[in-house]
Amino acid sequence: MTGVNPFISTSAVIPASVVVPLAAAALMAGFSRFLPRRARDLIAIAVALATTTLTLILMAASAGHPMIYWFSGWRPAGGMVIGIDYAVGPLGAGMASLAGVLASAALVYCWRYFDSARGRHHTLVLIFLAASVDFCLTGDLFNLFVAFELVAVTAFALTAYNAGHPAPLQGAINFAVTNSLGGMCVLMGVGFLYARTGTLNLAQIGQALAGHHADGLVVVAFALLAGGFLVKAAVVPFHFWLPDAYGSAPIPVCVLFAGVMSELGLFAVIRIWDTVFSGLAGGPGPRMRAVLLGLGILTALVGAVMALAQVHLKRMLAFVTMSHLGIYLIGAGLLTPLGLAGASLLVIGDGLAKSALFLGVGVVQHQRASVSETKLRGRGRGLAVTGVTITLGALVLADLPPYVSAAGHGLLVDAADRAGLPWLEIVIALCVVSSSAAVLRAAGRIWLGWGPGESPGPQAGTADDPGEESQDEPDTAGTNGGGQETREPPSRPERIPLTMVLPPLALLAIGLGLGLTSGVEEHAAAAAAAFSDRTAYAAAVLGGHGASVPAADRIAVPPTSAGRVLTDLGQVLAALLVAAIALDRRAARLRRALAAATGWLRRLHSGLVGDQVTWLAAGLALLAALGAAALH
Amino acid sequence: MSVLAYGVVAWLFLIGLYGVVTSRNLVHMVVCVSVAQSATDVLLLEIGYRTGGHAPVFVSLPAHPGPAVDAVMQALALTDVVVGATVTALLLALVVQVHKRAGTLDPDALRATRE
Repeated sequence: MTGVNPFISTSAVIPASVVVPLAAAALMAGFSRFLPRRARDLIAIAVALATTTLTLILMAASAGHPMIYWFSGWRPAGGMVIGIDYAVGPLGAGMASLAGVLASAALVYCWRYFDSARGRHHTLVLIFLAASVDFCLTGDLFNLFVAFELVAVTAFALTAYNAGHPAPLQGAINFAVTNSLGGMCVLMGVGFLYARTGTLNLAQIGQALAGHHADGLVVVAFALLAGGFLVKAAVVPFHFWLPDAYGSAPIPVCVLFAGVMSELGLFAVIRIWDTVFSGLAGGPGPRMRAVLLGLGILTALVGAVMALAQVHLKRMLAFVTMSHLGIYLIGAGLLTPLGLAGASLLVIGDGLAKSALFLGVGVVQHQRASVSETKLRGRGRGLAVTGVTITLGALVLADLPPYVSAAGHGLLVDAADRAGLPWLEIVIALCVVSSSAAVLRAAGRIWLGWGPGESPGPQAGTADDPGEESQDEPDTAGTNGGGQETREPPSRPERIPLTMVLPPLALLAIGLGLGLTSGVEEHAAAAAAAFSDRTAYAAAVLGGHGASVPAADRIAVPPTSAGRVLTDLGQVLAALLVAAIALDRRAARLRRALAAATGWLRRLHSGLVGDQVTWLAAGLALLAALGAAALH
Repeated sequence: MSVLAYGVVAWLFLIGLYGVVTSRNLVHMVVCVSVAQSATDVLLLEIGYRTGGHAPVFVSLPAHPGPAVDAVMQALALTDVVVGATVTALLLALVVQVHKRAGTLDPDALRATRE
């Protein structure tokens, strides 16, 4: 495929963006024992940065025109696909470059975080990155499954990296069992679609199904594919593994999980909807929108409530992530380019902010040997920069303008208005404010010493919490004990390594810079329009050179109004207010009442893998019923 | 033949899920995951199967070889076997570690990630 940019040989850049990290990971696995530690660190960081650069080039080069790469030059013959392709668009390439940025930040952070990373961690991170890029670029359904499994298996191993303690082991087992079952569902869905259409190419499957009515086989295929990907996306009721995995994985790994992995699940759902199922006869779009919006709202609300109920900081951020995933699903589930554009900007902005928060929590854990909000009360002294980082991260989670999340939020709200669903704005605002308030409450307690701490008597949102002790123990032990993670005791608490302080600030700066870039909304809208145009995608893949309509002309992006800025500032104020109430001693009775009211929801999160698989099976059945109702 | 194969797929997947849900031993649970996994392999092979078809090897064929079974589905099944082996190995390694640290294999006795 000839690229639109004559200065770059794009046909080489496309495979290189996967080959570079994958080959580096293989070499590192073989030769890392011969290299000194710092050389390994530097090579891994350089490879991650190179991958980021390659995907950014792809994002720029594919704007307005998808780039198709056929492996070994096996192009379609007579409209019949015989090879495997990468179909690169700006949205997929943008997602891939977000993975690259976060992997780079995580690897820089590892410079001092691990005392003795023996190369395996970096190898796994690079494989994770390569698989994520592959996932974002591929145009082949089976290749999508392989990338999905490769991301999953490396993620299982990374979760259990700190294998000296029970919590990471159990988190990894829950994660691996549920997500493996999800992967099997995806593969069965792939098989059923192949049985119906005789091809594995997304564009050609879509073409074969277009205009036909969905029968039982197609409905089952949809339910299996969507269900499998929604397990990864941690959508209710498939989400139970998420807090266990995030709460126990090492901090640099949490960054990759929260910023990239679960978002890839949603990316796949929307990709297969747009390329494969959206062309089915009978106009299934509006009914499918109802299904996706319902799942998104439920996920966003459950995540927000659970985030407020946590004192374990990593689990809190896990539920914040889950609430955000619900909001992304609301945006993407509107099934309009504007909604998808808003969700994409939120994925970037919130992904950067959540990563910064995780990295900040990692500094606290490294220096204070705890991640319990109540145990850390008033112990933030000497960690001022981290306190500022975490507070800033929490504020931008509430869409503080001009951070890029505010732009995404604006697009999403506008898309909801245009779809005739203005009340979605209230749901989103509730979840955003709750998530932000949970983190602000923790910051207020740790750095300002407000609110009750680890003293007798009820605590905010966690009165009589039997699980808190058992959750906090492993992390405390992990920092002092003989695990892989942070073996070095915090002997010099005043001196925090710069490699742990700067990456979160850099991530927030990137988000701010994107928010200040003019036209970022227009670019996102154009990318989303190109992503969701099934016929243009099929023409580009099958016809060799698609006559793509300039997408930017079709999407009118609303200008930023004063009212929108005021709404965003109102959300920030509301988050501060909720956090203050949560810390105020006079509101103890209110907190107890809320804790009692949400106790049943917390008890559902039993952390037992059997329960989680039961929910998974029930969710699949539900999805099959909803899919049948939507597609028939 | 065909109905029987799909029945086997459904049976293997559901009995595997049932085993995971009710398991009281982590090694047993990992094996149940493998059982569910084998359902996908049977499904893929059945989708690619042609009655009377020969193996998809296209060298030194007789004059009228007849139809071949679908090689694409066999490739998928092979890849899935590799994925399944990886996941099983990783899970078993984790289970060994759990037994070392916690001294038990009962999943209900592990409470480290309880809410």
